[in-house]
Amino acid sequence: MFILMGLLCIAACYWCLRHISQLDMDHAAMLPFADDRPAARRVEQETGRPCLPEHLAEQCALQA
Amino acid sequence: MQLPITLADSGLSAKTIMNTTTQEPIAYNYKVVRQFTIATLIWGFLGMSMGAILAAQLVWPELNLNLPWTSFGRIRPIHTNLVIFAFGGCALIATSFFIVQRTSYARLPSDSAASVFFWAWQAMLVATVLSYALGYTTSKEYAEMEWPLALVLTVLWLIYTWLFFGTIMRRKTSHIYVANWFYGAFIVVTAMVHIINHIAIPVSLMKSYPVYAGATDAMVQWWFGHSVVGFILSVGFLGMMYYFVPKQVGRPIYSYRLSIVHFWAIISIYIWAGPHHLHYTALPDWVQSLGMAMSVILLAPSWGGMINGMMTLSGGWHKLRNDPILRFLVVSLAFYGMSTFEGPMMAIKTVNALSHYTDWTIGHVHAGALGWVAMISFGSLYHMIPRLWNHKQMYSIGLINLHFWLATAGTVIYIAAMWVNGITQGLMWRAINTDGTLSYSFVEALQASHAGYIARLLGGSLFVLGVFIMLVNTWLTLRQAAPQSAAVTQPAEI
Repeated sequence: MFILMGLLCIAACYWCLRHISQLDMDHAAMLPFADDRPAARRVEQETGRPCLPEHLAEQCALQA
Repeated sequence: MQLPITLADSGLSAKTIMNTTTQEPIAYNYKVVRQFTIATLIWGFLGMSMGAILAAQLVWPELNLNLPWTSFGRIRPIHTNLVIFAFGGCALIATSFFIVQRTSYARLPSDSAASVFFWAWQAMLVATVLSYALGYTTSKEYAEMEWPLALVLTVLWLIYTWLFFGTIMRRKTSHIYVANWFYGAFIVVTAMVHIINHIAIPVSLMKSYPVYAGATDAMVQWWFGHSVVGFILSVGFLGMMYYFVPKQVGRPIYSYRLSIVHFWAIISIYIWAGPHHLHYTALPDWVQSLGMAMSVILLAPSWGGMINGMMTLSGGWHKLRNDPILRFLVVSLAFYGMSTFEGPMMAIKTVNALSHYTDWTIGHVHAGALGWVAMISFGSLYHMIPRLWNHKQMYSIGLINLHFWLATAGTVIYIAAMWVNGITQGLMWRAINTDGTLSYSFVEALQASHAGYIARLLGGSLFVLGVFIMLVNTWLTLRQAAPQSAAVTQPAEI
């Protein structure tokens, strides 16, 4: 049973990575700052990565 | 120049974009987070003080006072249970409720259930401590609670499971942030191993016997025991790391892809490592070897997570100069890396032949417990407390800095003393004369350990002093009269 669970974990890891794009991961990584606008603004200034909704929308639109 | 594109313009909903800074205030349930935060500090001080008392008893055995309820054998499980389930448990519950609400933009599903859960959890902890002091125990390490308390814990854990996953079900984001994956695994696996290890036949109100026998019982016990280490003290606190390290340093996690691989790798491997606690016992040899091999493999995901946390500071290392909270978080990761290297090495059978049953094991445990678990908790709580009570920062940054150095010095002194003691004991126990008799008696090895026990008491006492300073700093922070506007730090709270 444990061997089966191990194989399931490997399959789950593959599935997770297969179904999430780099852009999605970049957005997900910003979630800790997402409900705090001043923090989101500071992170944007320091890293240059979009976090505020208008900037995320802009990035998504450009990607689309 | 910013293009005036909004969510509506892009044709994307808030759920389509994984991360949106929420525009509308969300009323989080911070009351239960505050309650568990205070409980963490109080239980931490009590549990670690118990540890200092035990260290003193090993230096001066007269401190057992010849009373059954103050004897080493009864205080020791009180210490371990208080620091793991009371301090560690409350820290994990507080931070998990904080993180799951804030990264899901959702409130806990029930305020009354959260309140009942808090008070029942505290009552269960008090009852557990009292039962150990009175001598009621299953005698299984970290699973000493007798069946009525084990049943209560199961029911309370189900409430916790519902509160946590219920919040995730109500989330307003499409993605579940990776910290919540770690918390989720901690919650599910802890329930599984607790229930399976506690299956027992009660013979009276406070006595039961496990359904397993002999080596099977030992195997199930250490499958549980190491899963406590793996899923409570590692996976749970990694959830804490994945939120508070990026938040404190002001940068997203170094590699989100690595965090996903880290998660699946660590949960699939940790569950196998238990047999390394039973090397050279009646456990079948192939099970011991399997446990050893999986423990060595465990180094890879453990260091993957550690490196992911450390690298999050890329470009932000200068913040360590004047941010003692970040120092707590980074040093905790360093201790995590060190103890997750030491653990797999100690799980190798030939190394274990020297280290097992010696103080080296105690040193290893405390490198993880003090250096990783406690320090990541302190850093996380120092980050959280001002936000929970609407203050700009803790009352005194200087006191946080003092706490940091006391904790670091205490941990280093503690583990160095136990390393020296452990290797001394291991070498003395295995030394034999040419005629095959033992070179040293057990008492001689004990006498050789005495200086190390004094050093351990010193290190442990410094650590407890640091926690006391944190309690005082928190008390002074909470007493501050004029909290800043709630809108400055978070959208809303209740």
